Amino acid sequence: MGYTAVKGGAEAIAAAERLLLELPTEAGELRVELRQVRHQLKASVDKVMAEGGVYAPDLAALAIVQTEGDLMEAAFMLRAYRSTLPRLGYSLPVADREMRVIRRISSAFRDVPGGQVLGRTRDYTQRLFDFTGTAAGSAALNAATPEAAAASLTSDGSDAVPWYLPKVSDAMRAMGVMDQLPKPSDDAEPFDITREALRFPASRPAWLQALARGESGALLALSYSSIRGFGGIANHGTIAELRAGDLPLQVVHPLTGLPVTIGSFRATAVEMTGNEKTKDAAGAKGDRYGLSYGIVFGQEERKAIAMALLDSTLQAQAPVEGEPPPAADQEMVLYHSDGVESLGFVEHLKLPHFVTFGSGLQATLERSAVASGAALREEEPHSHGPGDEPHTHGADGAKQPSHGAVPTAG
Amino acid sequence: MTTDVREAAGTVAGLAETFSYNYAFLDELSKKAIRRAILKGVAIPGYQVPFGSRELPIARGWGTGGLQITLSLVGPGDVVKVIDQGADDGVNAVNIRRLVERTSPGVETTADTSAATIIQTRHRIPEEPLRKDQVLVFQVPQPEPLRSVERREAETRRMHGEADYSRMWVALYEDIVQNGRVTRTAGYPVVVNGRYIMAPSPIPKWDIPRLNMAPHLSLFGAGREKRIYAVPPLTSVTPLEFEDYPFQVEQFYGQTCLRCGSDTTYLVANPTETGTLRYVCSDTAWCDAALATKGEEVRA
Amino acid sequence: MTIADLMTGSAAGLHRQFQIALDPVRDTQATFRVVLNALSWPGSVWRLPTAAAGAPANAWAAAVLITLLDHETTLATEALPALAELATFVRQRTSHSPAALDRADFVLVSGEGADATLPGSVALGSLSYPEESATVIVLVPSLDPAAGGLQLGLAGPGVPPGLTAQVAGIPQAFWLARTAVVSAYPCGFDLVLIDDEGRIAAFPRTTAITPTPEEA
Repeated sequence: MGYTAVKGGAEAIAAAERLLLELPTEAGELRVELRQVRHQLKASVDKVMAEGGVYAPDLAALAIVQTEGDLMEAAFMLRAYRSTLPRLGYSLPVADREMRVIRRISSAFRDVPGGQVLGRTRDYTQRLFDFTGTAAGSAALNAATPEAAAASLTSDGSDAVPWYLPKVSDAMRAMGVMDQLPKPSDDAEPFDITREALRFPASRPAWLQALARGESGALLALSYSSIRGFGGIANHGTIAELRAGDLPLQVVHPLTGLPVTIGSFRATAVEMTGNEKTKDAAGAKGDRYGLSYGIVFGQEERKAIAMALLDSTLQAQAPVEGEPPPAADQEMVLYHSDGVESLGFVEHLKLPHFVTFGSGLQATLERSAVASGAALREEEPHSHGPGDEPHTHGADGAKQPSHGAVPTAG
Repeated sequence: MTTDVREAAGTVAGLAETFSYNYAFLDELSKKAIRRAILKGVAIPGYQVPFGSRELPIARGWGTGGLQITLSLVGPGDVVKVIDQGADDGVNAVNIRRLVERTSPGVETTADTSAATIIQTRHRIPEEPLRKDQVLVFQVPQPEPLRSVERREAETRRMHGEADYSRMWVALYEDIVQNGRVTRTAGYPVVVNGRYIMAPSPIPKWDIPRLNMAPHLSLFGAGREKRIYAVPPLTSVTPLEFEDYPFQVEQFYGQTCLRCGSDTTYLVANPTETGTLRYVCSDTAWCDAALATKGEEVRA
Repeated sequence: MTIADLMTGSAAGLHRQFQIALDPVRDTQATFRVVLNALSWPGSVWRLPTAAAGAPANAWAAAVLITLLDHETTLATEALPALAELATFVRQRTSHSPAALDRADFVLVSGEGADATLPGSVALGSLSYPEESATVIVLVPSLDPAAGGLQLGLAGPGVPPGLTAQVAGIPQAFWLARTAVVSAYPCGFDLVLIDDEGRIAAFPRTTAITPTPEEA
């Protein structure tokens, strides 16, 4: 029976793609519109933008529709799209106290300056299915004006919530229990993980960037391991403040040189704090409240908290003895929390590996052939092919298996 | 590109007006960063140059490193061959080739090794000897040859910097003590230019001797791990071996390719239900050409 | 012209405005391939494909610099008016930053500027990061073999046995100083020579270079 080579890879891929051109919809079923995804599946759009590292709600929505809801694949599409876009420039740094807040809570205190603003959250609802399907749409929830959006926060028409709220950590600094913020030094360029490969030990800007676009499930698992007690000192175990809202995007105007706001983006920022027992040079013990930070595009609160927890464990000194636990181990956290990298490598196992596998299999067959004495020769198993020289490699260059003349077709 | 994105947004058609793709997919600044890393890689043979690896429309782990190199090299007039495990028709090779075709007008693709100017490969070197005008681009999953003896990047970087490779040699020695021989197979570690231990990508041992003093440039890309390295032409590449336990390539014990009858090429084995193995050339282009010369299948 | 074009120093945006003859996609790709060949085959002389029209000096070197530099790289330039103008021309198209000689990613000098002190003055990298080292670009009068010059015996990766090169315009003391510096391999620097007729040759730090004095 003749052996026919396995061909048809190109045809197979083309056929697989044709299958993807069709969506598994029934007759009469409407296609999902991008704005439906943006408005009604907001959490998915937020996750895809955050992990893709690109704030582009429409592109994220298109990616979600195109991947049929595979959010990690969608983030991957956005991340890949970045690579074809030129980098135009850099925005000015913005502090989250400039945030136009739609929700702000603190776990550290019962009441804080500016108040606890629950906003629109599911945290205190019961996780029950609503089978009535009668929730009304509200364009105000996407309102662009402060007045309209503020009105949406107070259903009883009471005084609108102020946009800009004082920060809890500012109050703690005023109390004297938290250090003043360091002055940003003028010439410090943050490490840019999209431009350089990480190097270890990684700096705080590098790990914060990596965490900001880390896969939320991976960050959740690692941060959970820390607060559950599996290790990693999370000094900062209390949420001083969680705030969600819109941050201004500011750049330097190329002609006037002045800062100009060109837009805004939704973000969630979490500051966590806790008591770091300190010892000064004289050995005197003291208390100091430090700060850990998490910030994400959109409103993925659970990821922002996970990020702040990991910022805390990574800031803390690793124990002197033994291996650091996962949440405190920079290489563990930073190398294994990127969704695009992890899904790529895990799924690459679906690729052919028969050459590498075959190389090992040959070695196994060799050993069993030699052991059973059923080997095809009695001498040293060095030669291959009739009469060839032992195949070693020498200083005079590669001893190639002899190919003879290059075959020419027909 | 329009600046009024808000108007265009909201619909797929609107997005199509705003967004597009650059030549060879990567933007020009990305290409520059990759090109600079390639040049330093050539200047320091076998040393893994860290680079700002970009994501591509093909998943990490599926060849983005090799592809970033290829996309930074190609221009009109180039002819690109892509193989996976030696086969042009492997689905991943087909997919990579299509991406190159779609994004790089003026670049042709081929299965004919001798016609190619750039050959991107996953885990094999083509059987046909390459020429000095050809560039061989390897896809690399794990660029760090010391990773199996040291899991920390910070430490392996120090080991390379100080040429402190004792733990690697000890690992090979222990392998011999336990197993009577070095049991490493594909991706056998090599020394480049007498200085850096390098991971040659998971090519079979069969292909290792062909890296030594090759007439062509070899470039290695690890996209997920973000490293580029190079072996310039006419550079020594020697596998790690002990004098009394010399390096050996895979043996096929007289098996020949069922299609073309070759006994001088690397073979892959496909199992049958009864447990026997059927061997054929891994390099399908070579096998096709040999078969065409012979004019018929070897065994009917 | 859009705000985006103004904000970026990228060649693409300015290309549209200033009609630079160097195509930011095609010409940089072709130029890079020749630079790569030069570094892969040290001592062989190659022809650059395109010059950057409008450059105030050595338009071929300008093309190489525009190909390799961007806002993430730095350039140190020898203090000569012609080279300063060239650096400005390049900077308008790449937004690179100037830097001190001992830290710059790229260094641009004339043949005389490649003196015995230069090898020890440029960034040489570290054992852990040897790639953080300079690429030194020297503008030489001519790489035409007929132009004569110092005979250099070559050996190392990419060099066929017995290959020699002839380079005029760079003092012998530079080559001797270079040998001392690159003996600290992997630390070192990499050298690119460009003449004003578009010829290019390169010597990575791995090339052993032995000058033979010219016959009396």
